This record gives sequence, C-alpha cells and structure tokens, in this order.
Amino acid sequence: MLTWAGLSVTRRRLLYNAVASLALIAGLVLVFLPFVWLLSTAIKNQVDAFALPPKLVFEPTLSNFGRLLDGQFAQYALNSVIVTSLATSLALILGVPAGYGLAIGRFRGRQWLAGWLLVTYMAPAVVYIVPMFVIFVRLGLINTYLGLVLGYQTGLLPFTVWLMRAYFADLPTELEEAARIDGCTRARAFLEVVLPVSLPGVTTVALLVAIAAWSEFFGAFILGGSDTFTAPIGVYGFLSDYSSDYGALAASTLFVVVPVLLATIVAQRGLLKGLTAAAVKG
Amino acid sequence: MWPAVGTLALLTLVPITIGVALSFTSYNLSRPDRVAFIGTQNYQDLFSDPSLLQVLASTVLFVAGLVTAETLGGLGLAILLARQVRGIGVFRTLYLLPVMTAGIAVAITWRYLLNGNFGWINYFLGLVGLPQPQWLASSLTALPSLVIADMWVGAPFMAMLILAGLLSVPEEPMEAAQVDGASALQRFWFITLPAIRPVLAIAILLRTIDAFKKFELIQVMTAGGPGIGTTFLNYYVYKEAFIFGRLGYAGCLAVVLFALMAVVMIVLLRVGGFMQPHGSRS
Repeated sequence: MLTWAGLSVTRRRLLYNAVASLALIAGLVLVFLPFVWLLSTAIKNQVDAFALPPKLVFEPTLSNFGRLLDGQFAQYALNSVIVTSLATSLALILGVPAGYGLAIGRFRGRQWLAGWLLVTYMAPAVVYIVPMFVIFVRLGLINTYLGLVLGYQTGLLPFTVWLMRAYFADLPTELEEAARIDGCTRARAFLEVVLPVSLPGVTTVALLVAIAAWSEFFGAFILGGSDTFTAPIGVYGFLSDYSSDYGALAASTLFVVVPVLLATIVAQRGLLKGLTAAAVKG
Repeated sequence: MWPAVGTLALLTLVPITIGVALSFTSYNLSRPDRVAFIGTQNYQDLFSDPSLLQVLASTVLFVAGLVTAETLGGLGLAILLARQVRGIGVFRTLYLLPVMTAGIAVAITWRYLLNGNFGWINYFLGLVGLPQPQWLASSLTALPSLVIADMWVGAPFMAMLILAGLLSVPEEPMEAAQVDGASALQRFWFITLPAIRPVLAIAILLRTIDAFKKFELIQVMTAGGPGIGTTFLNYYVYKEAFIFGRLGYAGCLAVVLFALMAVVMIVLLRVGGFMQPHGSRS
C-alpha cells in the first residue's frame, strides 16, 4: 500500500516534469521566432524576404551587411560606440560612489535621496527630454555627443546608483572601518579597499548600464541629429511605409542585438544576479 | 557621492522645473522667439482637448492589460523554470535573451511578424485555419498587438525576478503542508504566494513604470494609430511636443503623465505593503 502510494507520487512528478518541459520548449518557439525572422531576413535577398511560406532553403547573401557599411549606418554605429562608452563611464564614475554612500552612509536625508532616485527612475523620458530639448537648443547642445551623454544620464544615473546600492548593501562594513582605523580617509578607503573587492559587482553593473545605453532610443531620437544619431536610430531610418529595404533593416537590427545577446550568454549568471538583487532588495 | 547627487539634481531638477514652467507658457517650436506666460491656460485647455479622454482611457487599458498579461505569463513561466531538474539552466539562459533585446529590435521584428499581409504570424494562423486579423491596422487588434510584442520581453523579465523569489522559498513549510495533505493549489496560494509577494510587487511595479514609458514600440509598430487608438499618454506628449511643436501644452501633459504615474505608484506601493507604518516590511 505504502510503496504503491510512493510510486504514484513519483509518477505524478515525472508526468508533471514532462509536461512542464514540453511547455517550456513550446515557449522557446515563441522566444526564437523573432530571432529566426531577423537572422534569416538579414541574409535573404529582397524577393526571398517577402516570400510566403517563409523560404527555408535560399541562397544566403551578405550584400545586406555590405550596404550597411556604405551608407550612413557605419557612422551611426560608430556614434553608438562613442556615446555608449562615454555615457556608461560617466554614469559609473558618478553612480558607483553614490551607490556606496547610499548603502552604508548614515546621514540625514538618506531616505529622501533614495526616494528621489526612485522618482527620477520612474519619470518617463519625455518629462526630461522636452525641457532638455528647449535648454539644449539654447545651449547649442542638440546634435552633439555631450548633449546625448548628458541626456542619457537622466535614465542611466539613477539606474546605476540603484544597482550599486543593492550590491554594496551586502558588503561587510568592517572593510571600510578597518581601513579607516589604519588611517585612511573615507575616499581612500573607498578607492583602495572597497572598490577592488567590489570589482565583480561593478563589472556586472557596468555591463547592465552599457546595455541600457546601447539600446537607448528616445534620447538619441530627440536630442541627436544627423552627426550624432546612434545605431538604433539608424535602424529606424531603414523603415519606410513604401519601400522598406528589409535586408538592411534586419541586418542593422542584428548589429544592435547581437553584441548584447553574446554578452548576455557569456555573463548571464552575473547579469541575472545584478538585476534581481536590485529588485529584490528594493 | 555628492558629485553624483549634484549631477543628478542638475539633470533632473532643472529639466523638471523648466518643464513645469514650460507648462504655463505658450512655447511653440514654430515661433520660439515669441514665448508668453499664459498662466493656467494650458491646464484649462486639458478639459476641452477632444483627444485627451480617449488617450487617458487607452493608456489605462494598455498599462493594466499589459501588466496583467505579463504578470500571469511571468508567474507561469517562473514556476516552470523553478523546477530542480537537469538542463533547467539552459532554459533559464535562453528565456533571458528577450529580456536583453533592444526595444527598437523588438518593435521592428514584431511589426513584420504581425504584418497583416505577409507576416509570418498570419501565415501560421492560416495554416491551422484560424482567422488572420490585420493586427496593427485594425482598431480592435492594434492595442493587443502591442501587448503581445511587449509580453515577449516582459513575461520573461517578470519570470526572472519571480524565479529569484521562488528559489528562496524555504522547503520545510512546503513539505509539512504536503504531509498534511494540502493540494498543490493550496500550497501555492498559502505558502508560495505570500513568500514571493515582495518580489512580485517589485516586478509589477517595474513593469508598470515601463508600460507607461513605451515609446519606440508604438512609434515603430502603430505610430499611435489607427486614428489615435494606440496614442498613449507618453506618446501623446511626444506628438504634441515634436510633431505639432506645442511645447507649452506638451509640458502641461507631461505634468499630467507624471501625476498619473505617481498616483498609480503610490497605490501599488501601498497594496504591495511597502509603505506600512513603523517602517516594517517584508
């Protein structure tokens, strides 16, 4: 009797696991459908790209990527690299110490500051970008790298501080205390003791922030111009209601997506931890 | 940390202040040299704006529908991913990929997958004899289309956060309940759900904020149409500011958007139990 009941539970578990795994595989079809469309369209010629049923056997071509190199997109891609590096660096230089201060500092107004950070993160980009556009027109910052880098900070900086705060909250405070007993100033203790130990966390956050900057659309769309538009805007430029160049559209989209996906696969453990830690600790 | 606080203040307080100031002026992009202070005229105009009511209604419908769909999808996915079986790590990594995909890529890809005439989705629907709606061109399906496209990102995103919560649920009460004969549903409702409530609340909060901010998804997939069917408040602010050039009125709408989001956030935070008195939480 008892063994039979035990067997039944095991069987039930086996059945549940089989059904659950099937459901996950079915879901993966949906996850991969967009990627399959992107990848195949990027290496199809214009006729094959439109064909229905979707052509599974076709002569692959790299001409779509070739067209990217010739046109403006090459410049936009370079702009993306420049703006992402600068914006990420600035967000980290300012945000990492700020996250540390918020995590371990015991000063008045700490709660207010954390609240303000949440508000700035919550506020949609239009709330900043409309007034920023007006200011930047006056200052001549429209269509400049500086303008984009500053505009990006409205989103990146609160994001950085929030992630770093969650990370530093787990760090034992004894580290800094020991360094200060040894006669370090607070800044030196942070730079020479805390920061080296926290390098894995900082790297993860840097990656998350860089991905956010790389994928940013609205800020570049409004504050950029033909000299400073980034790759996502270049992708958008291939879109037209009448004569879309599908190959170039898909190829340029791949350019935006693939580096991030590769980084995700390589660093997924850390990324997941960074993202969830910040959310779970609020 | 003070440089970061200063920069953040400069980059957020200044634009917000100017934005609010803007909302009391007649600033128009077509004649930026003739800006007049017009008091609360923009705010009075809100009440005679023929589109605003529909915009607000569709915004609320979109945000509520999207977050509900993503929460249910994310919860289901997280439960499937939380099983301790061999190979589950591969699934967790693969489901992370949509989360990291740039918004512009999501928008472009789904725009073509959901194309009424040559999109793959309609082709597959036709194969199994289901109706093939004009997804993005019909007022009935345009909003659900946006929900589908964003769910592709949002459901896995929520699943990752909820998964972190699920994996930290203690085993003992679960086993005790099982011994006592509680059904799977009862165990979920009385043990799992209370345990993951804080993570669930944060995940819902983050996705709600994100839903209000949607820009490139709408710009690429529907441009707010058909008619103004998918012109949600955030996109409406953009259109007023940069299509019609009415920066003053757009500033006023941005204030409305900010207020609406603040109200929704406060309600969510209270329901989620994050603002209990005496600072107690969890």
